[in-house]
Amino acid sequence: MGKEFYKLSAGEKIFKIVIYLLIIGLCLSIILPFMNILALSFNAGKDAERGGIYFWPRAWSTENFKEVFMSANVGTAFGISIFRTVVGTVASVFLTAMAAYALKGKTLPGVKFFTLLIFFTMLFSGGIIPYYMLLKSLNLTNTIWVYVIPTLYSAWNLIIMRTFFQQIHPSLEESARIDGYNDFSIFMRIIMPLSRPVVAVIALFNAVSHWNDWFTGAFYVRSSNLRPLSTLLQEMLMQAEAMRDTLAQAAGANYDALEKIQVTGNSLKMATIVIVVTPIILIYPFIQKYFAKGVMIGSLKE
Amino acid sequence: MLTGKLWKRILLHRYLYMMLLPCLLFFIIFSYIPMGGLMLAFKDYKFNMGITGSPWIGFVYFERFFNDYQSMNLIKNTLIISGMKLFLYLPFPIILALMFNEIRGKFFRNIAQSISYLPHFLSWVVVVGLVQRVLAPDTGLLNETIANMGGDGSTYFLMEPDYFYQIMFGSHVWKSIGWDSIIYLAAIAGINPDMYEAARMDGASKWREIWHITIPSIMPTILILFILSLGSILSAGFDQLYLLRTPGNMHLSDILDTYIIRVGLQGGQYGYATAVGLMQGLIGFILVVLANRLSRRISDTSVW
Amino acid sequence: MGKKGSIYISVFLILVLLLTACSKNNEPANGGTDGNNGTKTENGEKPTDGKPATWIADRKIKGLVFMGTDDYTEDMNAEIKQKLKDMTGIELELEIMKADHSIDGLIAGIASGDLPDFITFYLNNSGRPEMSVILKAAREGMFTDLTPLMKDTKVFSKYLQDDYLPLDTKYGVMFRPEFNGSSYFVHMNINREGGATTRKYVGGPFVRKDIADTLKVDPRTIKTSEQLYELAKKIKDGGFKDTNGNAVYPIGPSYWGGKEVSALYPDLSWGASDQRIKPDKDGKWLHEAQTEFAMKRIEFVQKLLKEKLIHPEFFTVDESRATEAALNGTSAIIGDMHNYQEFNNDMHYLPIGPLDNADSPYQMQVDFKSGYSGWAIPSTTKNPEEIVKFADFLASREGKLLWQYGLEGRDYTLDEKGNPKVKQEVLDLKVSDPNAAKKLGFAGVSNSFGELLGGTDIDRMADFGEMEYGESVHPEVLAGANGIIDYFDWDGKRKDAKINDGYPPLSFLGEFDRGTELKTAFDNYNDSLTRAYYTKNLDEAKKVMDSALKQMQAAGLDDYLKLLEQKNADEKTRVKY
Repeated sequence: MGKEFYKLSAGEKIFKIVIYLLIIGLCLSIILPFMNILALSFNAGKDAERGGIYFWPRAWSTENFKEVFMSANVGTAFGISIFRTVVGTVASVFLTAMAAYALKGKTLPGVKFFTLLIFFTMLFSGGIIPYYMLLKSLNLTNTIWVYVIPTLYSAWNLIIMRTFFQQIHPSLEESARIDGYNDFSIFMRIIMPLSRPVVAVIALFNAVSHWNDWFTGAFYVRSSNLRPLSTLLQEMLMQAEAMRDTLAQAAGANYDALEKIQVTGNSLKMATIVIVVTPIILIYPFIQKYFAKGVMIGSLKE
Repeated sequence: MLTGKLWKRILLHRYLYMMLLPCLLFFIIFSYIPMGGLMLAFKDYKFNMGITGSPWIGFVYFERFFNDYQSMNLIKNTLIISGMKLFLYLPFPIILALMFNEIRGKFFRNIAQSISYLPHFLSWVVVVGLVQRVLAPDTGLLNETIANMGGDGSTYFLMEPDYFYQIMFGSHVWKSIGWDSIIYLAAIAGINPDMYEAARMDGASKWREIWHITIPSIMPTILILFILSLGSILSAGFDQLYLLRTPGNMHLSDILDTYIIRVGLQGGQYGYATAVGLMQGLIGFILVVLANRLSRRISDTSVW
Repeated sequence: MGKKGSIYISVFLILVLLLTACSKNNEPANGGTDGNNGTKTENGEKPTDGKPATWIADRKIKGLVFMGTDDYTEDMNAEIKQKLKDMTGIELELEIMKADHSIDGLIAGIASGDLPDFITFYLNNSGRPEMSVILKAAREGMFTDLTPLMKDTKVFSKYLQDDYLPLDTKYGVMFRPEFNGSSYFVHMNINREGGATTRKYVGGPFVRKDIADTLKVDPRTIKTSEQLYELAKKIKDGGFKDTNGNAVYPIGPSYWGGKEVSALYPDLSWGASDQRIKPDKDGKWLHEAQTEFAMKRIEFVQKLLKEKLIHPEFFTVDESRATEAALNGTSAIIGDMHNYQEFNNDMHYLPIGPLDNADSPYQMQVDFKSGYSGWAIPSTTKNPEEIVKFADFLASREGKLLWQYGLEGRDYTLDEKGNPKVKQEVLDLKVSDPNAAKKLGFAGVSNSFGELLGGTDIDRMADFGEMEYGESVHPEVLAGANGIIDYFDWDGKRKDAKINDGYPPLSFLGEFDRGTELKTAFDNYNDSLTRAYYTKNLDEAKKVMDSALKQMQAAGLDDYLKLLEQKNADEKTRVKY
C-alpha cells in the first residue's frame, strides 16, 4: 500500500482494508495446516505417534525424507512424474491451442457439430472395462506413453481456450489476413502471443493434472517402476482407509486381518506429501507473471 | 450450386481442418470407441462373451434403480450437494479473483495467490483428516475456542446432521477457491487496460469499474464454466463425501457416486453401475443443452 | 494321510534340505555373503542332469496381487530369488495392484483377459466383495479347474480330503455344488489341525495397570457391563492423568481407530458383532433388531457418553488419534487391542474380563479354520500344473523355511532337531532398521511373498518348533504377549472353548435374491446404531432403530432368516454363531 493509498476516499480505504484482511485470513487458514504438515514431516516418526505436534517439530529429524528417498522406486517415480508432466504438457497445450483456434470461428462449416462432438465426451464414458481394453489393444498399457497419449486433449481445456480466443478482437486477424497470412501462421504469430494468460493457465492446469493423476498409474500400469509419484502417495494415504474398512467389516476380533495392514506413520506420509507438492508449487510464480494486467494486448494494439 | 459453395468454404478453411483433425481423431479413438461400453447398461455382462456378445436384457437395471427405496433420497442428496457446489459456490472464486486484482503490492499479491491455491494439492484424505482434528469434540480447535469463551465445548460437529452442509461446503470452498480463481485471474488479465483508463477519466469509482468493466469482460468465461459444470449435476464429489460420511450425517451425505461404488462395483454388477452413470450423463446433458440455449439467447455466449 | 504322513514328509524334506544346503555348510559362520552365494549359484546350475528333487520347470511365473498391504512387495531379495530358481527352476515375478478399489482392477483385468499366470486376492470368507467377481469369472470359465491339478501334489492334495477344509472354504468357496467337483480358486491360510490357532490372541478391552492397582481392582473380576461402568466411574473420580498431564478418558477407543467393540458389552449384544444374527433358545433365528438388546445397549452407551465416561469419538475416531490415545495412556481403558502389540510388551495394560454373555458365562470361541486370501489361475495361462506345483513347493516345509526364514547361514542356523534358529543380527536389524531388514526378503522380516501361494497347511510348532518368528532365540520379544496369555489363562480357557465350524450367518447373502439390498440394509443397521448412540434421548433412538428394522424387513430380512434356518438344518451348510 504505497502513496496511492492516501489518495483514496474513505470508502475506498475501508474497501481496501477489508480486502487485505479477508485475503490474509484465507492465507492464514491455509498456512497453519501446512505448517503442521511440515512440522510433522521434520519430526521423528516414533515421537510423532504421541501426537501434540502443531507448528514446530518436537524431535527434529530428517529421517522421514531420507526414508522416502531411500525407499524403492521413489527416484524412478520422480523421473516418471517429471517426464509425463513436461512432455505431456508441452504436447497437449500446443495441440489443444491449435484445435481451439480452429473451433473459434463461427464461419467454419461444421464447427457446431465438432464442438458438440467434443463436449459430449465430457458427459458420457463407457467405463473402465472398454477403456482398459482399448488401451491394451493400442499397446499402451504398461508403457510410459499411457500417461501422455490418452491425455493429449481434454474437452474442458479445449472449450475454455476457445472461449478466450473468441474474445480477441477480430480486427487483428483481418489485417493479418490482408497481409497474406494463412490460418496457421495467424495462429502462430498473432493468436498465441496475444493469448499468453490463457496459454499459461491451460499449461498450468495440464501440468497439475499430470502431476496429480494417480489413477492411470494404479490401473493401467502394472510394473512398479512405471508408477509416478502421485500413485505412490495415494497408496500410502489409502492404507488408513483400508484399515477403516477392515474395522467396519470385522467389528469382531479379526486381529490377523488388522495385523496385515501396516499403516505408514503419519510423519512419513507428511514427508511424502511435502516431496510431492513442492516441485509443482514452485512452478506457479513463473506462471503468475503472465497474469500481470493487460499483457501485450495494449502494446500490440498500437 | 450450394454444394459447390460449401466445398469452396471448406477448401478455404483447409488449414483449420488440418489443425482440428488430430483432435477429432483423438476423441473418436479415446472417447467414442470405449463409449460402446455404454451398451452394458442394457446387457447382462458375461466375462467370456465380452461386451458385444453378452445378452441384452433391456431396462432391467433402470427399473431396479427406480424401484430401490433409496434412489429418491440419493437423487435428492446429490442434487442438494451439487447444487450448493454449483450455484452457491459460483461467486466465491470470482470474488477472490476480483480481490486479488485490487491488490497493488506485487510481492504480497504473488505470495497470497501462491498460498491460496495450495490446498488444491492436498487429497481429500488429508483435508478431511484436518477437518476431523479441528472439529473434534473437547480437544478440537473449534471446541476449545468455544469452551474458552465460556460455551459448551463438547459438540460433536461431524456427528450432528445440523452441521453437515456447513462442513461440506466450508471444506469445499477452502480446498478449491484459490485454484478456481486462477482461470478468472487469467480472464481479468486479458481485459484491455484502455477501458479502465477511459473509465477513470470519467471519474468512475472502484465499484463502478468492477461492475461495469471487469465483470462484463469476464462474463463469457463465467458463463461457459458454469454451463460446463452443469453437466456434472448428478455427481457431487465422491472422495469428499465418502470421507466426511458418519453415521450421524449419512442420511444427508449418501450420494449417487457412493452408491455406484457400493452397489455397482462391489457387487460385481458392472452393468448396473454403467446404467446409473448413463443416467447421470443424460440428465447433465439435458441441463447443459437448456442452459446453453438460454445463454446464447441472452448473451451470445455458448458452448457450441 | 494325517499326522503320520506329514511327519514322514517333513523328515524327507529336511533330509533333502540338509543335502542341498551342504555346500554352504562347508563354509561356516559367514556363508551368506554375496561372493559365496555367487559361486554357489554356479555350482547349483552346473549339474543339470542331477536337478534337485524340488525341480519343477525352467520358467518364469508372473503373479498379480490384488491386495493393498505392505507385506507384499514386488522387490524380491536377489539371493532368495536365485535360491528359489535353483531349487525349482522358477523365477517368480510379482506385480501388485495396491489401489483402494483394487476390485476395479480385478474386473478390468478379467474382462480384457489381461492377467498373468496367477492372481491372488482377499478372500477371508465367502461374503467378501471380491468373492462375487471371482465367482462370476469362474462360472463364466475364466479360470483353470484346479481339482485335477491338485491330485498329485503333496500339500494341496489334502484339500481334496474329506475332513481337512472348514465348511465355508469347502462348500462356500472352493468346491461349490454348482461346480460338480471342480474348483477354480484356492483358499489360503488353512491350519493343518482343525481348531488350531496361529497366535494366542487375547483381545478386547485393556486397562492401564497402574490405574487398576491404585483402585485395587483386579481387571479379571469385571464380568458384566455394569461392573465395567462402575470401574469407568471410579476412574473418572480418581482424576488420573496421561503422560502429558491431561485427564484420561475412562474408556478410550480401539487401538486402530473408532469402531464398535462388542467385547465391552457382550451381555448387551446379540450374535457376533459383524453378524448380529443368531437363533434364540427355541431355535428361532432372530436379528438383533428384533430383540431387546439393541435398545439396552443404546441406553448403556448413551449413559456412558452423557457422563463422559467414554471417548466422545469412540466409534469414529481416526486411526492416528486413536493410537495417540493408547501410546500416551490417555485411554485408561483401551476399547480393543490385543496382546501382541509392541507398545505393551512391558504389560502396562492388562486385559479386562472377559465379560459374560447375556444368557451364558464367557466361553472362548475358536473358529475351526479360517482363510484369509485366495489365488486362481486364469484359463489363459499355459501349463497351469507348473504353477500348482510351485504353490505346492511353497506350501511344503522346505518352501516355507525359505520364504519364512530366509537363507541358511545368512539368516538362520539349524539346531539339532532341524529347526531354524534365527540369527541375532537379523533380529537386531529388524528392531533398528525394519526397512533394511525387509530387504532381506522373507516373511520373518515382513516380506511375505511366499504366503501368497504357500501360506497354508499352517502348523508352525510342528514345522519349526516355534509359534512366532524368532521366538525360540529371543523369547523376550514376546514377553508381554506371553505374560498376558498366562495372565488371561489362555490355555485354560482354550480347553473349554467352543469350536465353530460353519458359515457366518451373512455369508448366504450372495445367493439370496435380494442380497445386495439386504446387505445395504444391514450396513444401514450398523450405522443407525452408532447414530442412535448419539441421539438426544431414547425415544429418538427408538425411532432411528425402528426405521432401520423396517428397512431390513423391506429388503427381505424375514425370508433371509428362514433361509438360514434351512441352511443350518443341512449338515453341509451349518451356520456358526
